[in-house]
Amino acid sequence: MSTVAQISQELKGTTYVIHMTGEIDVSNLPELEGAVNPLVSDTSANSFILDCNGLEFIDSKVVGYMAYLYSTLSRSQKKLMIVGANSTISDILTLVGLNSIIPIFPTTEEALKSLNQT
Amino acid sequence: MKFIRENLINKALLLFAVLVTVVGVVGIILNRMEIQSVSLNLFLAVLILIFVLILVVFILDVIVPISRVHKQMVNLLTGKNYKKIEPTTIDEIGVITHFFNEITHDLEKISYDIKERRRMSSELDIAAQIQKDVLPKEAPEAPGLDVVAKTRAAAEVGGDTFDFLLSPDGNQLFVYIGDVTGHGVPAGLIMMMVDTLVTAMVYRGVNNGRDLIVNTNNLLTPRISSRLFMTSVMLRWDKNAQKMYYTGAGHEHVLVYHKKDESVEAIRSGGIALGMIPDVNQIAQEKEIPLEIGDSVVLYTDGITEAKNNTGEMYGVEGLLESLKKHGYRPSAESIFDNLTRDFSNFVGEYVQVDDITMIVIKYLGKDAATAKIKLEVSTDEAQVERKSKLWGWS
Repeated sequence: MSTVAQISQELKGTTYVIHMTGEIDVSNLPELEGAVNPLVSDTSANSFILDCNGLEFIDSKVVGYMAYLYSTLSRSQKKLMIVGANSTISDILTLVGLNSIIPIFPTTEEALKSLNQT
Repeated sequence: MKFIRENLINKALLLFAVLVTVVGVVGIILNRMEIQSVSLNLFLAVLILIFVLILVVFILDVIVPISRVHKQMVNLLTGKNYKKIEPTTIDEIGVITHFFNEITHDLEKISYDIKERRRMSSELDIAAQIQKDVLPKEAPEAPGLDVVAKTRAAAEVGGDTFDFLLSPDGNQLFVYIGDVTGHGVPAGLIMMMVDTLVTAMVYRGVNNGRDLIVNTNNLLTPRISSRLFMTSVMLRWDKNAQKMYYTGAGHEHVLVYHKKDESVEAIRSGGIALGMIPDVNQIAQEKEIPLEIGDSVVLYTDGITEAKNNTGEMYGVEGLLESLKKHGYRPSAESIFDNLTRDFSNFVGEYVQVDDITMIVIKYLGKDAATAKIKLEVSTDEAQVERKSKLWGWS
C-alpha cells in the first residue's frame, strides 16, 4: 500500500537534513523541490543530507532531481549525502550510478561525522 | 416572454399617452377654432394610425431582432459563415442573442483546439516516424552471434533505443541499449541525440565501449538538463577474438545464460547514467563477459522489470531471470525471445503498459555456425489504442 510522502527539514550546525518518508515520484516531486530548492542558496549551510529513513519508493524523476541537486550544490562547493536508504532505494541509486558521486551512509550521525573528518 | 410583453405594453401605453395628449391638444385647438364636430373618417384614421404605430413597434422590437438571430443560427447550422450579433434589446431576444454569441465563441475555441490537436498529433506521428527511421532496420553481419531486438514505445515517441554499429575496420560490432528518464517527446529527443552521437563516434573510429560511453557523456551532459539522463549498456563484440565486452552507464543488469550448467547470472552494468555528471572517465569501465558456445546475453529496459500485474506485483529482474533459466537452452535467439516475452505477457496479463519496453537477446553460436542476419523489429501500433500486453504482439 502506498504511503503519502512527508517532507521536512532541519538545520544541524551547517548541514541541512531533509527528512523524506513515504513514496516520492513525479506526482509529488514538486513538494520535495519546494522544500529543498530555497535552502540551496542559504549561505549558512555548506552541506545537505537527504534522510531516506521511512522513504519507501522513488522513481527516475526523483533520481534525476538528486543528480540535479548534486550538480547544483557542487557548483557552490557544497556537499550532498544520502542516509538511511532501504534496499529498494539503495538498489535504484546504485543501478544508475548515483552512489559513485553521492556518498551514502547508514545514519545521519555517520554522515555528519564524515563531514567533521574532512 | 415577460420582458417582451412588458416592453410592448410600456410602448403601447406611451403611444396611448401621446395619443391622448395629441387628441387633447387637437380638441383645444378645434374648440378655439369653434369647430363643433369631427368627422368619423378622421376618428378612423387616428385609430388606424395607432394600430400602424403598434405594428411598427412590434416589428422593430421583436420581428427584426429575431430574424437577425435566426439568420445567423441558420448560417451556423448549415455551415455557412456566421457573425456575432450585437444585442439591441434587454429582453428574451437579447438573452438569446447573447447565448448565440457565447456558443459561437466557444465553438470557435473548440474548433481551434481540435485543429491544434490534429496538428500536434500529426507532428507527433512525424516525430515517431523519424525516431523509427533512426532505429536500425538492417544489422551488420555478426558471425558467431544470433541476435533479436525489439522495442515498443508507450507513447507516440519513446525514450528507449538500441542500435548495432560496425566499426570502420569491420572488426568490432557495437550493440547498445538505452533508456531515457520518463518517456514521450522529451525522452525521445534525448534518445535521438545519443543515437546521433554514438553513431558519429563509431564512424569516426572510436573502437571501444568505454570511450564511446565517456565521449557520449562528455558531449551530452552540457546539452541537457541534469534532471534528465539516459541509462545504457554498450556491448562490444570482437569478431576476430569472438569475445564480448560490456560498458555500463547506470543501466539495468546484463543477464547471461550459461549453457554449460544451465545457470543464469545478473551482472550489474555499473557506471553512471549518461548526462548526470560532466565526466565519467573515472567511473566507466569496459569488462569482458566470458561466453561459451550456446550461452545467451539479454539486455532489457526497466519497462519490463517494472511492469506490474493486476495485483500490483512487479515482474522484476527475478521474473526475467527465472524465465531465462527456463528458455535459455533454446537453439535460437528468436525462440528465446519469444518465450521470454510470452512469460512476461502471461505475468502482466491485462495490465496497461506505462513505459517503453525494449529487449535484445543474443545467442553465441560459435564462429563456424551459420549465422542469420540480426532480426530487428520496432513494434508499431498505428491505432495507439490502450496498450495491453495481449496487444503487444510479443507473444
